[in-house]
Amino acid sequence: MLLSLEAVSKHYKLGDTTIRALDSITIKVDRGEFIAIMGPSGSGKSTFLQVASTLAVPTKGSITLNDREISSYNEVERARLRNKYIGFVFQQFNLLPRTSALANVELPLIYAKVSVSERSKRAKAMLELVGLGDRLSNAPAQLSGGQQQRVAIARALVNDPDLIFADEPTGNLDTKSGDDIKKLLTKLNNQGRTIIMVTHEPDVAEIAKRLVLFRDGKIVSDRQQRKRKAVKK
Amino acid sequence: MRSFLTMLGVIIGVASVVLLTSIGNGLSAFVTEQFNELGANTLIIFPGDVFGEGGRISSETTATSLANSKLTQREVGRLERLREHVAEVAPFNLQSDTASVGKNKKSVTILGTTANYEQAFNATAEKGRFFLDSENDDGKRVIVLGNEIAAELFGAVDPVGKRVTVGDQSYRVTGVIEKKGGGFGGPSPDTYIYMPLKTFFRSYDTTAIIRIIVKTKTIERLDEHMAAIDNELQKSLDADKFSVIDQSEILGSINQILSVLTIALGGIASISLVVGGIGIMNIMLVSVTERTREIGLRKALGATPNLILLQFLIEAAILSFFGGLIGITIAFIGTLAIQSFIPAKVTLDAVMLAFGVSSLVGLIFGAAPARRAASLSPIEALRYE
Repeated sequence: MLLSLEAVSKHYKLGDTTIRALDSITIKVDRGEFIAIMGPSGSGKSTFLQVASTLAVPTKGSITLNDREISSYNEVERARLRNKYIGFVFQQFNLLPRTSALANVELPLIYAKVSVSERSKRAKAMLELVGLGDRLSNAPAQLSGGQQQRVAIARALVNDPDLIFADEPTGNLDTKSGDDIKKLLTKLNNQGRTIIMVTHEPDVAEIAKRLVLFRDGKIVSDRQQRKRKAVKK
Repeated sequence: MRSFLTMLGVIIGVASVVLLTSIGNGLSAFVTEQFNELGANTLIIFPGDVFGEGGRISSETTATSLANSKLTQREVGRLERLREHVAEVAPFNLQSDTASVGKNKKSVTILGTTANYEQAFNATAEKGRFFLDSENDDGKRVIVLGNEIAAELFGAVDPVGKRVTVGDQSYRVTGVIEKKGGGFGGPSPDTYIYMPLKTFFRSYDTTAIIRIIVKTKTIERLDEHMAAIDNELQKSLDADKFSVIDQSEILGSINQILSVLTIALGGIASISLVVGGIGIMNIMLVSVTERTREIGLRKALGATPNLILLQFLIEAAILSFFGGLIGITIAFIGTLAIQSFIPAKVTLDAVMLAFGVSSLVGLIFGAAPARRAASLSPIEALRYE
């Protein structure tokens, strides 16, 4: 088992009231899975992503990654863990402006203390994998939204993480670019990558093998999607 | 552009610190050099009590004592007879007057002295010769010209043997002294006209001497020579009517004044360094706010708080480092520009100090914004619009 959450809760204090953003969630994720998380806004799906990816610390419960208990890790340990095992794809791409695609993809390797020549070799390979081998030196502003998101995916992959978290990866893209990203994610999953994706678009969720529905901080449905829909050419 | 504006404070601060200290150091080196040229065995006898209470040069007593100097030819004669202590005695007095050659008229300073002046001040003649003892004894109307005034009065013509009208009398030029330069910010010795003391007394109806320059027999027994001279002069003068001063005393006083001045100016200049530092802090705080998302992203990708702290500290340090570099360059150029007026000299320690302080300013004022960046929560930062 890759990732496991046991009775995990996340409470926020808002004035006098406590908001139960996550209410005793239990979920297990195996290697090679492609999970789509859906739910209305405020259902806790984003909080789940933050807690599961160690960006946020749970109020209660236990999280294990690769059979290691990580819920009690401090900030530095969590930063190192994210660098090594987790890749992020954001709705807003979050690329560094005025920085080449190559340098953007190299960023996680800097924090992993990889040598300069190795960095550029691996970043180049990842950009080629996402189909941007000819755009290495372009800054984000010179790339389309879809291309930017592909740079972001290359960045998420470059450190060869065990787990990729994608937060509305197509939310800022037109249909055509969105389809490209869906294809890319499907391809990565077919190559064995584990992906957990939050989305509110049903047609995006369809590409995942497993669908988890959130409501009011709880999981209300968790099922394998029998027919995995192929993305139209 | 914004980086440059940020650096401007540091640039100005460093430039002014280096420039002002280089002026101070240059002046001090210049003064020392001027004194060394006289030779370490040179004593200067001033009328009046120059070093008043506390051992500081008092301008008031100096000014009044010049007007009623009690030093005369008699004292000079007695000093000349102190053979075992004194090698050379050169008294002098100064007078402003006009000198003219044909229609060419100039305001000049006339320095009345004896033939010994040539030895005591290394006033070697470039053309012709210095006037002789005999010419002084006879009160001959001869003069020697400083290098600059010779050029001003005669241009390219060789002045030796020519006549110059000083006041309403005519004098014959016996020589021109080689270029000496300098002059402590006052008139340079190159602009003086040198006249035999006896002639000077006659022309200006005075017997006063405002300085006696004494070269002692040895440097090693300087204190002994000074005591003997002091003793000799006290036979005819009260102790407060004259002062025997060796160069180290004068040099010490001047350098003391100069160093206080240098520190004060440097201190004022360093205030602008601090202001520059605040500028850096301001811009770094803005930068942290603007780059909140970037900080969040970096944290998500595995940057530890310390790495974020380091990144922003280095950015602040680089800003002030380059600010310092540019500032020092400007100070160098500035020093070269003013070198023709003031003997400024950029010293290595001033550069190192300004550089160190500016980098430190970057680190200190960069610390607060950097810590703020490091402590941002990655989720909050990523959500920041």
